[in-house]
Order: sequence, then structure tokens, then C-alpha cells
Amino acid sequence: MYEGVVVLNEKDRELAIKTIMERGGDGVLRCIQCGACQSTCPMAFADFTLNPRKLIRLIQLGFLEEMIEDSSTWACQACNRCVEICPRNVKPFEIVFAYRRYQAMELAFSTSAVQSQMNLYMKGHAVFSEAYKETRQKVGLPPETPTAVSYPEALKEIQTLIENSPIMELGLF
Amino acid sequence: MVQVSTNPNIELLTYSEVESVEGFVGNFKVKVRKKQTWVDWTKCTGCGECMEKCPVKVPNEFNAGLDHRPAIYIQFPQAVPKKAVIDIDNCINCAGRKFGTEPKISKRTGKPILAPCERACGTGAVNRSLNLDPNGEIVELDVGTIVVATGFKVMEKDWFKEYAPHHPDVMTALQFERLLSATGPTGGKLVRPSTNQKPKVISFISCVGSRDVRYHSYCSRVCCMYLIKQAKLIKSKYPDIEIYMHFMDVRTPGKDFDEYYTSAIEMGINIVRGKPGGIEVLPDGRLRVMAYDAGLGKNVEVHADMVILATAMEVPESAKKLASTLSLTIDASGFFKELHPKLKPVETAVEGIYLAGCCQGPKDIPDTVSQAKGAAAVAAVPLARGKVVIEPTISEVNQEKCSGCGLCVAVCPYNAISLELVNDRPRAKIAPTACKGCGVCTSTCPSEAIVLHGFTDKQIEAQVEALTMPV
Amino acid sequence: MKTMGLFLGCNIPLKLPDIEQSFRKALPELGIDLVDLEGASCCPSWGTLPSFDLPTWLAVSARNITLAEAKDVDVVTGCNSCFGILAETKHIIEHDEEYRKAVQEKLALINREYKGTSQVYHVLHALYKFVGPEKINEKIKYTLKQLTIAIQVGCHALWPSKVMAIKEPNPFFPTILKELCEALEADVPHYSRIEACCGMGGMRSTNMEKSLGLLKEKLISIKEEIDADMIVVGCSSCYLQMDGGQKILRDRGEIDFEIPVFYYTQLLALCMGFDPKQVAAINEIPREEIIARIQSEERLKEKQEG
Ligand code: SF4
Ligand code: SF4
Repeated sequence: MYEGVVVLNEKDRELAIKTIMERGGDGVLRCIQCGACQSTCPMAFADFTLNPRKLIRLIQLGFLEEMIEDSSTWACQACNRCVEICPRNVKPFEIVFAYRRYQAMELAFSTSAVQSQMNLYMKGHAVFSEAYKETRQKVGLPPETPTAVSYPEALKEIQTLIENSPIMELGLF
Repeated sequence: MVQVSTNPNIELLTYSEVESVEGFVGNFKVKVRKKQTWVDWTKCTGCGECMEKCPVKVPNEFNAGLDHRPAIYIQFPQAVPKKAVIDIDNCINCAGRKFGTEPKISKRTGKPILAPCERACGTGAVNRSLNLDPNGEIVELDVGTIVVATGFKVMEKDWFKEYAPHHPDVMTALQFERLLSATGPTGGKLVRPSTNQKPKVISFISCVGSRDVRYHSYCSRVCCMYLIKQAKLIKSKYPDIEIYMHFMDVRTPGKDFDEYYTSAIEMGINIVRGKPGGIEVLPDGRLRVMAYDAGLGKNVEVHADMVILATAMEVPESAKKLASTLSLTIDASGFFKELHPKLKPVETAVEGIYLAGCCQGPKDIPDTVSQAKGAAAVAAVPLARGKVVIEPTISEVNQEKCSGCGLCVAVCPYNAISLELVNDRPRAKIAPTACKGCGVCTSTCPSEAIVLHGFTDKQIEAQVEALTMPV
Repeated sequence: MKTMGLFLGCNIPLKLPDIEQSFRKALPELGIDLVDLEGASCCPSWGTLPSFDLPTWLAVSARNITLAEAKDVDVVTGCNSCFGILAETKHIIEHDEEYRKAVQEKLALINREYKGTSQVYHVLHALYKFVGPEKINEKIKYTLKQLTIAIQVGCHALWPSKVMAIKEPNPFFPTILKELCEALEADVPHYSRIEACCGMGGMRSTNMEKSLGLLKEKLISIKEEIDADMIVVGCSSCYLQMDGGQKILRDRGEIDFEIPVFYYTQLLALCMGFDPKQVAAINEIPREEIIARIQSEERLKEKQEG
């Protein structure tokens, strides 16, 4: 086989499409590759290797595993500009996120994602800062926030929801 | 159009609307409202003097809102017939000259004070003392067949928020067509509306509202070609203007169409395949077209002086109203539905009513002309024959059983049923030429007085029995 | 008086509490009473549960909304991520029977139920709808006459418009924040990258350089096209990027200017006369000078009008 040519096959294609559809990317087959989403996508502006249009094309052709280590999808801002303008109601953002979910379940994600996931589980807040009480007092607020981090029973609820989800299979906590 | 108006066998009713249609093929009774023009057309010579004097300014529909027209106006210089009308909603009744009032008498001159339009008209076609009926006049026509040809409208640019619709230099292709026209708002001079200067860079965007499920999923069919036409026109006249054409893909099915397209590329017109996702407005008023080029697989930007949007063709709301007046069906895309897409492309579900042009679906001029000729020929057949062939499988009322309740009249989708008096009692009657044999009345009739020939209860029961027989 | 449930999220209470303080000071005076949603968690932000499991995301978000339902109030939030996540959640649950069922099942585990009785508002949308520019103008002490503001609304308050209770007339050319800034009597001119993403969010944690690249493009558009005196944001994440990211670009010499950044309610609170040590105290790009200019004698509204 030539180095510069790929052979297309139906089996890979079916698997790729099924995987994405099951994870919330139900519009993948509607895409006609017009490029509108790419033309105003921050990922494309910043020249990441993937952008919604390109990702969708790869999936439509059956390249699911090939990009699993590509962290571009994690640069999606979830800005939803693509959803607003897509002429085919593909909801490209949902496909990017469906791919992320696939990556996540294959343990292909960055350490920063792990950290915020841990924070969420332990403190109820993805973004956390140990020094928060001091900062709050400086601006005249009570040191404790009225949020989950100050309410153990609330934290318990969040943990229950996470513990009863497939995320536990990843063994992060 | 001029030929039509001078043909002795054709009666042209412009500025008119169909109010109702009754009857069936060969015997349609059509009520047409001739709208009040407020100008006596037997006297109006189309000189246009009144237009010069009227102080009102209303966006000019004919120039797609690019300039203004007065309240008394002739729609465009080549209008047929070339007669003035008063847009009464926008008329400000100068000099207190409401229609049907007597003019005030000037103390100075002792003469009546007339409105400017009256004064301007040399033939007395405008006479505001007359008490004219704002509803116009109803005329009744007896016709054998009807051809529906309402035409289309194009979507306004305001729908497309991502394309800076508020910006004057973003315009629909129809507006641009008027801008390029010798009879248009600039007399054919190509200028940016915002600055009145000649543009240096022009972007064209196709499929705006077409092939877009947010608006219309269909392809408007004509945009690729007319955009290329507009681009070529500019490029040949002003070779220094840079032109970028953004197509999702280029559709050129038709004789000599693709050659026309490739010649545009050879002229130096840039084709960029990909749908632009947005337009940003630069501080100097130029437009940053944010686009994608499929060949490169990358984002590209064009800094354009003007952006032309090929907005979708669609059926106007008023035509949809007409469809219900005529008992015609509208399909999922909003166009009038033909009886069969391949074999009966101009016929409709109503015998004797035919379709021509864009009311049936988007099409270009050659296709419209072909279809219109087809419709005219089909419409002439029953008239020439004097007879029509009808299906045998239609419904009939047994008037002995009929109680005259009238339920069937309401349910018939083809207006085929009416009540007549038989021995002073109302009884239903089905017009055999109008009935399509759908059977709705048969199943509705509480007295079981209607039979659908070929599908009597007995026949259906026998069929069911045959189909469910153990083998 | 309208009472709303203040959903804080993470960045605002833990990193930028001066923004929280600006809500607590300014909103009640304008007729919006705030109640706390005790035990509210992270929305959860895009990089966490939404990137791992859809139903779990929806359940944790729905739990947050139920806190407001229990108090019979609408949610108001100042973080665009929180707003986007909660509004999207509400939209999905209310339009997709299957997800709604999945969410209720999950919520049952913690004895909760999603009712759908609370609306989700962005703080700017709430100010625009329930207070309005006119009333804001009445309540300010200092005006921003002759000061130029560059607005940065932030993506999640623009798109997808279908999930929002209050919509921009044209999200690609936003005007709500513009009108709110004009209520402070500032000039708010258009700049070409007005709707562009600042680069914060997932991009910043995935590739800092590329993220700063987007920020730089935006800042240059602001500087060169309108030479703004300050940037006013409607999102706490945008704030961190426009302020902190700008500092990085400045320190590296990639830009040669500094434009102070405010969250809208901070600026509003300053114009209302609140103490900058409480409502506008955490920043990388210095704001002291511009704050002193804002809260100066000659900007007193009475004086200008009198
Ligand atoms: S805008 Fe929609 S149809 Fe066009 S390439 Fe993107 S996902 Fe596909
Ligand atoms: S939501 Fe993600 S994929 Fe869509 S335009 Fe924004 S960054 Fe790009």
C-alpha cells in the first residue's frame, strides 16, 4: 500500500459513527462538510490539528482511534458558535464532546482534566484555591462560601451522583 | 408582457387578487377583486408627472428597498399597463384632500386647493373629490381551466444574523441585481451604498437560506448561475475589482452552464469552496468575511467592500392563501404540489387547475418557460375537446338515504359536494368532475348514503376475506 | 423587588470574590434581592463531567437548579460557563424525554426531583430585563462620560441562542452589555473582534500558547481600532484571561500596552460609589489609576447635571 493512501472500509466507519452517536453526537451523518463551523471556530483560529468539521469527516470515514491521543478536542471552548450557524443542525460541538467522552473512557485525557475532576469530587468545585478564605475576607466577605465546599451533606450528594456513574470505572478517585 | 396586453384574446387583470373559485373543470366561477387604484386608468397616460410632485417617500419595492418611491407611483418604467396607483396606506392626503371630500377654496385666488398629485395630472385621472370604494371592484369570470403562476420571493437579508445584515454594504443578490441595472437606483453605477465609492473587493456567498435546515432544506437551483453571471458582468466591466465567490459546491446542471462557470474561473474570479460562518465589520466599514476553503482545508479571510448574499427563493405568504382558495396542496418545502413529480408535473389534485413556474418549485428562466408552455398546452386540451375524462372510482350520493346533514360538504378536500334542494329538502350532491374518489365522505356519512364506486363495503369486505383466507 | 438565587460557581467565590461582593452590593440597591443557594457545586464546568458522561453532567447541573426550585426563585449567575452549562442542561432536560428520565432517576438517589420551575439568568440579562439601563443610570453616582469601553460579552452568553431566556437581538453583534455600559454614560464603540472568543476555557488548559494567541488578536483589535480606556467583561473566565493573560503578554513584550479590565458589576458598583477595596480589588493589570479617575469629584453625576 502506498504510504500516502488510506483504504476506506465500512466496518471502521460503522463503529466510529456508532461510538459517536451513542455519546451524544447524533448529528454526525447530517454533516455535508460545508465548513461553516470551522470558519468561525476558535480551535481553527488557533490552528489546532482538529476542528469540528475535520473531526466529523474523520469519523464519517471511520477514523476513530487514529486521533485518540490528539488533545485538540480538549481545546473546544464549548462556545456553541458552530451550533448556532450549522446549516444542517449537526450540532458540531456535541460531536466534539462525544469524541471527548470516547477519549475519556479510553483514558486519553490531559492531567489538567484529572485535576479538575478530582477537585469536583473532593471539594464540589472544579476550580479550587486553598487560599480562598483569606481572599474572601480581604474583600469584606465571610471566609466560608455558601457553596458545596462548606456543606458536607451537599458534597455527599455530589459524590453519590458521581459514584453512580461510569466515571468510577476510570479509577480516578 | 406588452404582447400579452395587446392580444385581443387576452384580458389582463393587474393589481387584482383572486377572491374565490367555485365550480369544476370547464365551469369555474372565479371572483377577482380589482383593487382600488385611486387613479382613473381610462384617463391615466403613464406620464409620471404625479410621481414628481408627491412628497411621500416609501421604500421602493421594485428596487428591493434600495431607494424610495412616492405614494402615487408607477411600479417601474416598463410596467404593463403603465398606469399609476396610489398606495393609500402611505398617502398623507396633502391639502386635507382625503378621497370623497370637497376641496377648500383659496381665499386669495378663489380657486379650489388641490393635492399635488391632482394638480400635476394633466388628464384629470386623479380626482380626490370622488367617493371611491376602498375595496375596489369584484368581477366574476367564467373560465374552463386555470393556470397558477404566482412566482416567488427571495428571503430578506435580516434573517442571516451572522452576515452583518444591518450593514448597508451587505445586500441580497436581488438588491445587487437592481444596483447593477441601468434602471436601478444608481442608474447602473456600481457603488458601495455606504460610501458611494466604487468597491475594490466583492464577496459573493451562495446557499444563504437554501440547503439550510434553519430555513429551507431545498436548493434554490438558480443562485450558482446568477451569481456567476453577476460576477462575470462586473469582472468584464471592471477587471480591477477583486471577486471572491463562496460556494458550498457549485451546481451547473444545464446546457452550457458548466462552461460558463469555468470561463469565470479563467477570467480571474476566485472560487472558494466552503460556507462562510460569519462576517465581522472592520473599523473602516469594510467587511471581514470569515470563510473556509475546502481545497486548502483551512480558514481564509476576505476583506471585502461589499458582500452579496444569494438568499433563498420561497413562496410568498399571499400565495399560500391562494392555495387554500384554490383547494391546492402545499408540499413540505412550501411550494405548490404537482399531481405527480414525473408524469403529471403541471397538473394538480384539482382537475382543471395547472401550475407554471416557481410556485411549483425553484427554477430558472429556461425551465420556467418550458413548464409554462406545457401548462398552457395542458390547460387548452379540455377547452378544445369540450369534454373531460374522469375516473370511474368516484363517490355518488344516494339521495333517498341522504338526511341532508351536510357533514360531507365540510370534509371534502376538493369542494366537490354541495347541498341542493330536492322536494324542498336539502340533499347532498357530488360533482363527478371534481370528485377524486378519496372516500372521506363515504366514511363520514352517518346515513351510509354515499357509495364510492369500486370500493363499496361489500367489495372491501370481500377483499379482506380473500386476503385473510387460510392457505 | 425581585428575589433571585445567586449561583456562584467556582471562580467567583474562590478566586474573584470581589466580583461576588459587587453583586451583593449593587444588585439589591437596584431592586434585585439575592438569596444564597447553600450547597451549590461547580456547574459542573465543560472540562469535567460534560466531557465524561452526559447524564451525570445533567444530573449534577439539575441538582444545582433544584436548590433554586426549593426556594422558589430563579437562578442568577455571573459566570458564563455556569450560565451556559445550566441553561443548556435546562434546555436538554426540557426537550428530551429520555435524558429527563435519566436525570430524574439519578436525582432520586439523593432524594431530589427536577421540576423545571426555575429560570436560569445571566446576571447581565437579569440587570437588563429586571432593572434596565434607564434605572441603572438613575442610580449611579459617578458617570463614565468620555471614557471608552471595549465590551467582551463571552461566548456562553451569546450561543446557542436557543437555550437562553433572554436573547441578544443579534448575538454576532451583541448589544445588551453595550447598553448596560452606555447606562453608565461611557462610549462603547464597535470593534471588529467584538464577538470573538478570548481563548480562556478548555483551550487555555490544553495549549496556553494558542490560547494566548486568540487573546492577543482580540486585544490588538481593541487597542488599534478603538483605543479603549478599559475592557468590561460579562464573564469571570473572560476576566481571568483578559486580565491575567494580558499581563503575561505584556510581561513577554508581545504587546506594549495595558488596558484595565472590569467585570461589569464591578464597574457598576464603582459608579454607584462602593468601595473599590471590596468590589474591585483582585487584578493583574493595574486599575488604581482608572478607579481614581472614575470615583473623582468631577465625575459626580449631580455636579455634572447641576
Ligand atoms: S457547519 Fe455543520 S454541515 Fe457544515 S461542516 Fe460544520 S457540522 Fe458539517
Ligand atoms: S463549540 Fe467548540 S467546536 Fe464549536 S465553534 Fe466553539 S470551540 Fe469550535
